[in-house]
Amino acid sequence: MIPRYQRILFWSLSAAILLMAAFLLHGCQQAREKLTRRQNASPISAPTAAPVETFRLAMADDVTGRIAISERQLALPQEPTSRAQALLTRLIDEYSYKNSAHPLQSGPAVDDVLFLDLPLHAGGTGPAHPSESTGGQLAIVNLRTSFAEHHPSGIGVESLTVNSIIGTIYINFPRVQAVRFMVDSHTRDTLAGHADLTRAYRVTNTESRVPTPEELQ
Amino acid sequence: MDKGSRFELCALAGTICLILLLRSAELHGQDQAAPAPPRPPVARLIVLLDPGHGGTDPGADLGNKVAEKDVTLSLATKLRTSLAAQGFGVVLTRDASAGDAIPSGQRAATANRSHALACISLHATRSGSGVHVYTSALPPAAGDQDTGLLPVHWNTAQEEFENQSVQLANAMKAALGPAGLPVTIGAATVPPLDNMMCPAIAVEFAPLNTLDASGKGAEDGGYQDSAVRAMTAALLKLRASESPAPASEKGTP
Repeated sequence: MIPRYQRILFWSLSAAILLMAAFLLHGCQQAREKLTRRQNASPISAPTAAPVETFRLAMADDVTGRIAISERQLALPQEPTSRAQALLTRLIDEYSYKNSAHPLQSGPAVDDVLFLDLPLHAGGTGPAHPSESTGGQLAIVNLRTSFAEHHPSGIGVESLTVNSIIGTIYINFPRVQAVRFMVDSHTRDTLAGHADLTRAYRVTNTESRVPTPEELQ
Repeated sequence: MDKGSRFELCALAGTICLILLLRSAELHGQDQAAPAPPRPPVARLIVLLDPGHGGTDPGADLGNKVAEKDVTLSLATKLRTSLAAQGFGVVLTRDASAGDAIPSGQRAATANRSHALACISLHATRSGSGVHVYTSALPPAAGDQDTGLLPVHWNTAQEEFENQSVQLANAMKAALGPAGLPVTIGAATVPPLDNMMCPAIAVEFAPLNTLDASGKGAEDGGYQDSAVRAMTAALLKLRASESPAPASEKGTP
């Protein structure tokens, strides 16, 4: 026979455990909502002197499998590489929001972006003389390994991410003729098992999915 | 043995050697002169199936500890059985015993040796919904160029077959749609499609309805069976359009 005081103690402890579990779950939920709200409110850090301007993002949609152009307003740096990095960071940030049409894990995605004048010479350098330049540029997007490793795997979802990045660069940097992807400054076969990252993507390839700047005007 | 007999014996041996030599030269000449037997026509009844990933490369995680590599192999095995029953020869780029990840170049090389009617790369994912059929994102080769003597660039080998690949994708869509499987067609840069010298598509199976929690994923047996039936029907239709009298070639893939 279990003494009465022990039974009371047992039930009291059980009730306390349940209460603590409920409190913990509630706390976790609140923290998550707070983080999401903060993510939505503070996309990127921009120089305070930069004016707020309108720019376009090529947003992917998993359900339709298409890319649509959306306009945003934000203060962006004027220096091209910082500007491209800020744009792509904002693009990937939007994919990590709740109810995103192309959900991706939040976190840093783009390490840096480089622009090289075409044609390239041996060693990856640009034209030796300004007269050689075609006026076009190659954009090199250096992604982070953590982004690639946590990216959802699939032909559709990976192609949409790649085309979304290419489209965003193309819309905002009309001189870019090709985009090459690196991951932590190294070549990588695929983004997450499917989309090919070993080659340079000609931006003209995405015209059917991403309108050209002329078409948007 | 006296001197005369020895001489006769040597003369006889010499004559025999000479006859043999002349005979062998005659036979050799006949061999060279004989026209080469006509090469059998390329049997365009072969389908190449490329189950995505495999070995140490599990592919996408489809949930419930199911890896994409297992689902693609299951689909390929079912499709192989169904196609073989219809008289197709089927070549797989990998089987269950694959220990290491198979490079995309090796898959493309297997495809290019097979002279297949269709090369189908199979994939599965948790993203999106329905069946996604992809052709290469390469632009099709210009039709008026005679490329017969030009070398084929490995990275753009698919260009020559781009129009046929689009036809194959459309045939798949026409067959999968009536089977109750929503289909979208697109273009993607996915290895090894660009390196394949055959009409090539990648078919990716996503859950049937992501809005519904009970939506069937690619690991579902019923989903796989519907897809296999529809894809077999599409390939039968394609074979009928390629060769008007397939009955004469039946059983000789």
